[in-house]
Parts: sequence; structure tokens; C-alpha cells
Amino acid sequence: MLLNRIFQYLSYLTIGIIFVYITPLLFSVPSWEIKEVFPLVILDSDYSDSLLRTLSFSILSTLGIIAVSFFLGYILKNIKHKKLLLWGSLLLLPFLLGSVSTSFLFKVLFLHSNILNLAFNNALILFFILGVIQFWQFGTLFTYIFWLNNLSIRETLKEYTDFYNFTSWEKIKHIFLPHQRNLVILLSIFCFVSNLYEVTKLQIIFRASKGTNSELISTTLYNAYLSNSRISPDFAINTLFSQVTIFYLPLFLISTLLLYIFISRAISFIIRPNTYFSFVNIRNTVKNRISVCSLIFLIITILLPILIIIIKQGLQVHNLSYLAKTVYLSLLASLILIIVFILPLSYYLRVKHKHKFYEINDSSLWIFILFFLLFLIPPLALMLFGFEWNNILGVKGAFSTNVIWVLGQCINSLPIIGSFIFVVHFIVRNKELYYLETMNANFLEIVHWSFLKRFRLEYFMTFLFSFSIIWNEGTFNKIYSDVIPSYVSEILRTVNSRNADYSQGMMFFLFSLFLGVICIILWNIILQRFFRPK
Amino acid sequence: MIQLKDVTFYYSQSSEIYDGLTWNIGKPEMGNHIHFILSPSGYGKSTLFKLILKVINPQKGIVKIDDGARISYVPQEPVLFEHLSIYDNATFFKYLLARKKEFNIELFNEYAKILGLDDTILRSKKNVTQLSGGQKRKLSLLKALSLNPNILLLDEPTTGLDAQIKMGLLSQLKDLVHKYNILVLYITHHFEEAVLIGDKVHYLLKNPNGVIANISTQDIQDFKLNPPCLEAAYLVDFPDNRIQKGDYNGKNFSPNELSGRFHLRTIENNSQLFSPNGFPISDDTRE
Repeated sequence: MLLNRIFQYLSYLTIGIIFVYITPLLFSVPSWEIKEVFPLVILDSDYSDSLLRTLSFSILSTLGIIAVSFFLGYILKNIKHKKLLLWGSLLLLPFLLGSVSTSFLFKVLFLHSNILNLAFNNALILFFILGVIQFWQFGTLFTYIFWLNNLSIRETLKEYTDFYNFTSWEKIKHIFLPHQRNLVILLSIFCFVSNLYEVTKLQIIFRASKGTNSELISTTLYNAYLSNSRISPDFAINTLFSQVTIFYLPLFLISTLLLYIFISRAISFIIRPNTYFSFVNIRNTVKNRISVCSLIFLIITILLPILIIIIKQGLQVHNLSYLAKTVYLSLLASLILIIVFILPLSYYLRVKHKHKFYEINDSSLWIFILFFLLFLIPPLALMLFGFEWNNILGVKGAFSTNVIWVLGQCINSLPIIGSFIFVVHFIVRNKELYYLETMNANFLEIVHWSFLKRFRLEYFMTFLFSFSIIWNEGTFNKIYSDVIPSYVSEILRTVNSRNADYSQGMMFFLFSLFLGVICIILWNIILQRFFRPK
Repeated sequence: MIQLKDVTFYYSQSSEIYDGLTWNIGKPEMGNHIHFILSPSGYGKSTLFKLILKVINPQKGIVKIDDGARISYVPQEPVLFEHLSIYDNATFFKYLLARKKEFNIELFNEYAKILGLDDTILRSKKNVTQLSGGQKRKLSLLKALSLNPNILLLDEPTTGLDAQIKMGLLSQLKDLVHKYNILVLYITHHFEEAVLIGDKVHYLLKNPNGVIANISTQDIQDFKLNPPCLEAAYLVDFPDNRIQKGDYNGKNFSPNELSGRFHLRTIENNSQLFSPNGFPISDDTRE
């Protein structure tokens, strides 16, 4: 009973911390610089141009990435061979590398090439290249997800469509798109939000600036904050806080909602019975070859840039102690995230409310919606909530900064890591939980036998993954870099220095690559369980 | 109408399903419309359908369908699309590029009437997932019939239906296939369905290596009284007292030889010897 209570209170505490962390605006209403906000963000062309650019880039890039990933996932569906599926896990690598590593990779790749010059001279080319890089990082992940999801379509359904001679378009329209509908919407929103808050790649690769029309709104806001803080730090924080919470956050929420409506409507329009689109019909043997070639092409696209920069920079061990300094707090944050924020809540809901939390359904959806809403909050706003808490409590100094940093990073990474662990826990069947309960197993015993022993690998992989996300994060790490050494600050320092020496950055990159590869190996071990004959 | 000649098929070489199978089904004649394909689960009944539908090809041999044959197929689990209305699901083939010419609205309306799917159901605003199991099966059948087929392949079309609905569906099926002269191949492992509406039973026989090399074809009554093997005897609920261990055609065996062997005393007393796994043992293979 006592254990139950402890887990119950821990769960409430988790949700409580999240809410408390993001609600300092209730305390700081009087300090809102409302008068400063609206004229500035609407009338000042720096803000409005940047906002327009951000929205256009985010929408176009999202639609492009999702369409291409969906199409590639459709092409790859013919690959069912176990070994190829395991090789296919390499599609996860760019996402696992994280934003800062991806930025560093392309920075070094484009170094001394004409690509950067072209991008500096033409904002359209710059954003096109950024879109391609976003595809490299997110599109490959989406392709992999679409591919795996396509494999879950019943074989008899495929035979049915073959017998009745469905065209490729009819197969997409009636089988694949309806099957992937929710996933398309979810990934679109994920991609849109990631594009909306993109800041790291622009700064590291393209050194975005007002003059080259290459700033997105996060960069504009951050730069304004920096110049305001030279006048008064409090004024800078209050202005930024007001701009973000009163104007941009609602605007982003509305634009995400509009995107959701647009994509749902577009899918409904496409899957109407009488829409026709002509596709070339290809024989099955040729289709299989195209699938395998596409997979090889994608893997080469992922590995080639990595190999090129390794050849360019070499495999080198450089200043390990500096690497260690950047690592320990990220390790701590990812441990706290998993052990304190996610597992108790997930165990409590899965075991104590098993009749609701056994799959994604109407009863369990709220937790995913909560994660999702959290995901919509820009990292910049999360950072500001932390600043506000410091002001409210009147605390200053390295320790309080560390606490705020850890909390902010946890809340920032919670949506992705939390959703993953919740879904993993759905693998445990309710029958098993009811059985253990009938046998009078206590809560801790159920957790031990049904979860901890079963999901050790998954937890370890998630831990590495969350560490990678936190360590590779761009906003928090950059802003707190005076107190907390970080990967991004080192890369930015290198990029901005005259005689750039990328050896330390390369060391960080290789470390990130190593983590990514370990995650992929673990994922493949997990995946092999599903291939075992039952 | 359907001809399989020396067909050998396997998904992987280590697990062969058919070996040199030859099997014919002629045009439907008076009282010879509904053919049941019977065998326990895992014997490759659905694979036989896939070969006829040509979604898979045999490694050896030929599968031949008469020119002009129009085949339609109803899978075990109804294929209904949630994103389409009930009516659009029923008339789905009128939208499908490869099949729209075969779709016949007059026949569709007639079949709908016979199957009891009136406008209140077809034009209902409900989502197709909200239909009952029986209605979904009927809708799936109607969809297949709307192509005016003369060969209809049904893969366990009554799975999950209760007895009353099953009876209704089967009698409607019987009426319409006789009326419109359709050849029906019907997969099941429930012999009672064959008794209700079947004309012929085709039983897949495995050889001692576990591969299908022969299909026995019998009338319903004959199959019931003289099942071709021990497993078929269990399928038709053959009386236990007629499944005996012991002598075969008056020949005595030693206790060792008898161990695990059975024979069926069929109605004509034409006993046959079976091994423990149900394979018939011919006189040649017997010691």
C-alpha cells in the first residue's frame, strides 16, 4: 500500500512540476511589457519579415519532407527481409545524432565549397539547403517509421489488391494513406514544430543574419534579447517573455492547429473514391529492385557525409576532460528525466489504470496530448520560465542555474522520451498484470517482473537517446553556456573564430556518432525479438 | 473451368505445400454449383485460392482458368474501407480503374435485394465499422458479386457469425448462385456448412511427407459415409465405434504392427488402414 502511495504521489509530483514550471506567467503578470510587445512584433519589419519567413519555411519544408518520406516509406514496403530491415535501422542515425552534430557535420562538409557562398547570396537557396538538411535529419527517421508501419498491413489485404488489379495510386489512396493517416498528421506536426523552432543549424552552418534575410524568428528573438540585455537584463527578459507568451506561443499553437486541419482535409480529399492519378505500373520484380536500390541510396546518403568529414578531419581524440565537463550534467538530466519524471508516472498509470492505459485510446490520449502541448512550447519559452522562477524565488548563482537547466532540459525532452516509454509499456499485456495481481504480487514486484526485467535494453537505449537529445540541444545549452560548458557553445565558438580549429568539435561529433551507433545496435537487438518464431 | 496440372508450390524449399497436384473443376451444372474445399487448418486451402487467383505462381505445373471466366473473391476477413461510406464500399469496383467496366449496377441492385441489404443499410450514414459482423460479410459478398462473376471464391465467409445469421447467409448464397449459375469454391473446415448448401466436397490429402499431392472429390453424402482419411472422419463426426484399431480386410496383424494404426469401417465395409497421423496406408506400403 505504501509503495502504491509513493508511486501515486510521485506521478502527481511529475505532472505538478511540469505545470508549476511552465506557469510563472501567473506570478509575473504585472511585469509583462504588453505595451512593448504588440507594436514591436507587428509593426517592426525585422520581426514581421522573420515571422513570415519562419512560417513559410516551416510549412513548405514540412509538406515536402512528409511527402517524400511517405513516398519512400511506400517504396521500401516491399523490403521484408530481416537482414535488410536491420540495415534499414541506419535510417535512424541522423535523428540520433541530434541537431548540433547535424549542424557540425554539414558545416564541415560545406567548408570551402561554393554551396555556402550560394546560400549567403540567395536566401531561397539557403532555405532550400536547410530543407534538405532537415530531410536528412528528420525525413530519414520518418521514412523508417512509415516503412515499419507499412509492414504491419495485413498480407491478405495486399493479395486482395493484387487480385483486383489496384493501381499504385489506388493502393496508396485506399490502403496505405488511410493506414498511415494519423501517423502522417503526427509526424507533420512534429516536423512543423521542429522547423518552427529551428535555430542551431541556421547559426552554425549559415551564421544567419538580418542582412542576408536568413533569420528565423527564434534567432531574431534571441538577438533582440541579447541587444536588450545590454540596456537592462530584466527588461530584456520581460520583453522576450511577453513576446513569446502573449504573441508567438498562441500564434504557433494556432498555426499548428491550422496545419493539422489542412493536412486532415487534404488526406480526406485524396482518399475520396473518385480521385484519379496516373502512376506507371511496374512489375513486382522491378518494384523489389527499386525498393532495395532506394534503401541503398538512402543509407549512402546518410553515411557518405559522415565518412567525408571523418576523412577530412580524421579520427582524433582531443581534450577528453573538456568533453567530460560537457557530459556530466546532461547525464544527470537524462537520468532524472527517466527515473523521476517518466518511469514512476508510466508505471503508475499502466499498472493502476491498466484498463485505460493499455493502448493509445480515448482514455489514455490525455497523457499524449499533455506531452504534445509541452512539445509545442518553444525551448526559448521554457528557458524563460526558468529565468522567471529564479526571479520569483530571488535565487541566483551556479546551483540554481544548474537546477533550472536540468528541469528545463527534462521538460523539453519529456514529450519524445515519455511518449516512447509509454508506448513501450503497452507491450505488457493486461492479462499478465491481472494475473500478477490475482497472485497478490505487490506493486514493486509487478514493476520488477513485468517491466524492469523485460525492458532493460529499451530503458538503456532510451537513456542514451535522451542523453543525446539533451547534450545536442541548441537553445538551453547555448544560453547557459557561461555556467554550463556545452557542445553547442564549443561549436559556435569555433565557427565564429578566425582560425577555426574543428578538432575539438570533431571529437564531440565522434562521441555523438558513437552514441548513435550504440542506440542503433540496441534497437536492432530489440527488433530481432519480433523476428523470433512464436 | 479450373484446371491445376502437376502443380508444385512452396514458400520455402524446406516446407513444400503442393507436390505434383492435379485437380479439375468443370462448369457448374444442375446441382453442381457449390464446391467445398475441406481440410483441417494449415493444409494450404488458402494457398490453393491464391494459386487460382494468380497472386502467387507455382514453381512447377500449370494453373489454367477457362477463357471468359470472370472470377471474384471474398477474403476471410471482409475488406471494407473505413474512409468510404457504406454505399461507396458496396459499389467500390465502379471506382476501380481495372474493374469499373465489369461493375453492373442492375445486378448489384438485384443481389443487394437477395442478400437483404436494402437502402436503409446501404445509404445509412453509419461508418462501415459500425455494421454488424453479418452485415459486413454480406457487404463484402455483394461487392464481389457486383462484378458479375461466374466463378466466386469464398474463404471461410461465415467466420465469427452466430448460427442464425450463418444459416441466413448460406441460404441466400445458395439461392443466388443457382439462380445466376455461378461456380462457387468455398473454403471451410466446418463440414456442417457443406451439408447445408454444398454440392461437392474436395478434401486435401497429405502424403506421409506432409505434402498435398492429391485432392479427393466426393458428393456430400458419400463424403460423410466414406471419408477419405482418418482426419476427414473426425471432421464429419464419424462414429467412434466405426473407427477401430485392428485387422484390415480380414488380414491379421501382430500387436506391434497394430500399434497406433487405425481403420475405418465405412458404410460399404470397405475398410482402409490409416497411420496415427491420419495418412491412408495403401496395400503396397503396408508391411
